[in-house]
Amino acid sequence: MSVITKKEIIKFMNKTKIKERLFVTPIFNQNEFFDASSINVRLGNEFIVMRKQSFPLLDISNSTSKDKIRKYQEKIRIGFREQFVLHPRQLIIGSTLEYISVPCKLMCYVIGKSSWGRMGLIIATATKVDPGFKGCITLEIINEGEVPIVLYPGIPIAQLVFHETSSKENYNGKYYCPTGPQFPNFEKNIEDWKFWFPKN
Amino acid sequence: MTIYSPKLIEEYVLETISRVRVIKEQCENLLSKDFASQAPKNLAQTHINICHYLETAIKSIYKDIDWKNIKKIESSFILLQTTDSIIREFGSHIRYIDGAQTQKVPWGLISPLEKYLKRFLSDVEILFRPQWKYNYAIIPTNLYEYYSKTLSSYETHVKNKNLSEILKPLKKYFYIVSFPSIERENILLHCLLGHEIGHLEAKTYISSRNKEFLKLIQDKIADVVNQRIKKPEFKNVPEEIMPQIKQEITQAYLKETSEIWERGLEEILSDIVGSFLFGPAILFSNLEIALQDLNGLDITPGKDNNYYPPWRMRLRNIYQVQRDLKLFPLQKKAFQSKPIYNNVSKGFKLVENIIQEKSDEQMLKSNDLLKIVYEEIENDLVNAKRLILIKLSELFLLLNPDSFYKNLSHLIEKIDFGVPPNPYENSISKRKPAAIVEIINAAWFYKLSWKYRLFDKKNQFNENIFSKRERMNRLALKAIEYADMEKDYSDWSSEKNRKPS
Repeated sequence: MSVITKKEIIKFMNKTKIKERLFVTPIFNQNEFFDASSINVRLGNEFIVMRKQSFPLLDISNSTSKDKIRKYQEKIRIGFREQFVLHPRQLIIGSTLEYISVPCKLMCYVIGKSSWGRMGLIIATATKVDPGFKGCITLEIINEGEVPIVLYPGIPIAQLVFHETSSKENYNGKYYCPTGPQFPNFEKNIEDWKFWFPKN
Repeated sequence: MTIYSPKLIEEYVLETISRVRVIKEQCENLLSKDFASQAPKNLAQTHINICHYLETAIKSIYKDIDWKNIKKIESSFILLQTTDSIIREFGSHIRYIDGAQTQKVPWGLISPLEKYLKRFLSDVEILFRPQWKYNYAIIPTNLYEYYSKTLSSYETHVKNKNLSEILKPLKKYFYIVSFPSIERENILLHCLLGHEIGHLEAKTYISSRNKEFLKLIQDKIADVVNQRIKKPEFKNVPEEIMPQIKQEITQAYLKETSEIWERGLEEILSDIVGSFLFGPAILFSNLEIALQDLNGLDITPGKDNNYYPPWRMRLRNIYQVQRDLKLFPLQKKAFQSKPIYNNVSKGFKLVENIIQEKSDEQMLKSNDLLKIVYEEIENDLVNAKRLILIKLSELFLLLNPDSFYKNLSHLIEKIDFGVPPNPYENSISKRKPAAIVEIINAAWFYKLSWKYRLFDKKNQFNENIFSKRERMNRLALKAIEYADMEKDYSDWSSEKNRKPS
C-alpha cells in the first residue's frame, strides 16, 4: 500500500474513535512535526549503554543470557539540555521521545534524517513498526562516522513514514506499551530456535 | 599522658580534616551525577562550601591553642570535638543527595510535583528522596536555618568568609521529603507527598495557636484532675501533700494534652492540605496506607503510637474536603462510561461505609483527656480549613469540580487504551496538557474502575491484573513528564516569540 501524506496522517490523528486514532505524543511544534509524507520524532532521554569492561560476549543460546544482558547493559537517563557524546563505532539503545499508538489499519517505518546520516549517525536498524503497536520506539543508534557526535535529548532525530495496510492487524509482539528503550528480549523465541543452537 | 597531649590532639585534628575532605569529595562526585531537580545539587554545593568553612575553622582553632594553659587546651579540644561531631552529622546528610539521583527517583514526577507544590509554598525548596524505611515523611527541620544556627558560632574563627555566602546555594527554607523506595514507581501513592508538605502549613498554624490552646483547656483539665483525686487510689494521701500532687498531675495532663493536640491537629491538617491539593486521590491513597496499619482504624492516640489520630477520623476529614470542594458526589454527566462511573462510585461508597461508623469518636469520648483535646481539634479544624481555603483560592489552586471532571473521563479512556494521559486532545489542533492532579486522579479512577478476580477459575493468580497495574503506573508517570515538557516548551516558545528579533 502507498505512503500516506500529511493530510491523511492528520486525518488519522483526528479520528473520533480511540481505536482508529493515530496517537503521537507529546507534540511540541506542529510546524516542525509534519513533513509532506512523514512525521518527525525526537530523541528520548533514556538510553541503554554497554558496560564494555564486563562484556565477554552475548550468546542468545545461553539460557542465562537475559541476566547477562541486564548485567552488561545499563539504563541511564540524560537530562534535557544535557549532552550525550556518541563516539565512533559506539552503539547505544535509545528511543523516540514520542509515544505512539498505531491503529490497526496503519504501519510505519522509522527512517533516519538525512542531515544526521551525513554525519555518520545511524538511528534505527529494526525499522518496521507493526499495526496496533503502542509505545516509544526503540532506536539502535550507532555513530558510523570518524568523529564523536554530540546528541541532545529532544532534538528531531528520525521520521515515521506511514503506510495504510490492506487489512486490519493487531500487534502481538514482545514489547508492550514501553515508555523508554527496551532491553533485547529473546526469551519468547529461544524455545523455537533451539533446533539451530549447538547441542550440549 | 593526658588526653590533651599535643600529639593526640594533632592526630585528632588530622583525622577530622580528613573526614571533612572526604565529605567534600563525595559531594563533588555527586555533583557530577544526574538529578531530576536542582535541589540536590544545591545541597551538595552547600555542603562543599560548609566543608571549606569548617576546615578553615578547625585549622584556626588548632593554631590558636594556648599550649601553656591546660584550661585553654581543654576548651579548645572540646570545641574541636564539637566541630568533629558537626562534621560527622552533616556528613550523614549526603544520603539525601545520594538518594535523590535520577535513577533512584520517579524522575518524570519530581520536577512537575516540585513546580506544583511550589505554587503553594513559593519560598520553599524541597528535596525528594527515597528511603528504604517504609514511610512517607518530611524532616520538619529547615536545613538553611539549622546550618546557619550551627555554623554561626564559628564566625569568630573564620573571619574572611561570610556565612550567608556559604549557604547561598540553599533557599531560605529547605526541607527533605522522603518516600518509600519500594513505591518509587507507584504513581497512585505519590500524592501523599502533598500531605507531607501540609505539615509545614500545619506547623505554622499550630505554633500560632499553642498558647491559646493551653489557656482554653486549663479549666477543663482542672475538672479532670479534681475528678481523678476523688478516686479511691488517692483516699489515703495525706491532706498536706495533696496540692503538690494535684499540681503534678495537672502539669502531666497539660503536657500530654498538648502533645495529643499538636500531633492530632498536625496530621489531620496535613491531610486536609493534601486533600485540597490532590483531590480524591489522597482519599484513596490514605485508605491504602490505613489498611497497612496493624492497629486498625480506631487506634487510641497514645505515647506508644506518637499520639497519631485514628485513621477513621482522618479519612472522614479528607472525605469531607472532597464534599466541600464538590468533587463528590461524582458528576455522572462527566463520565462517558457507565461502568467506570459505577465502579468509582463504589470506591467512594466503601469509604463512606468506613467513615459512617463512629467507633473512633466513641473511643475518643470515653477518655477524659482525649475528649477535651479532640473537641478543641474540631474547633481548630474549622478555623484552619477556612485559612487554607483562602490561601488556596488566592493562589488559584482551588480544585473546581467542573474543570476537574471535564477531561477526567477522556484521560481514563486513554490509560485504558494504553496511551499516556498527558493531553486532552479532541483533535491535534485542540490539545491541552493535563495537570498533574488530573493525571494522578485519572490513574486512581482508572484503577477503581477495574472489575477483576485476583485468582482465576483454576485458582491461579491473575498476572494480567498485575501487568495492567504496572502499565498504568508507567503510562501515568510518562504522562506527567510529557505534560510538564509540553507546558515548558510552550512557555519557552511564547517567550521566544515575544522577544524582538
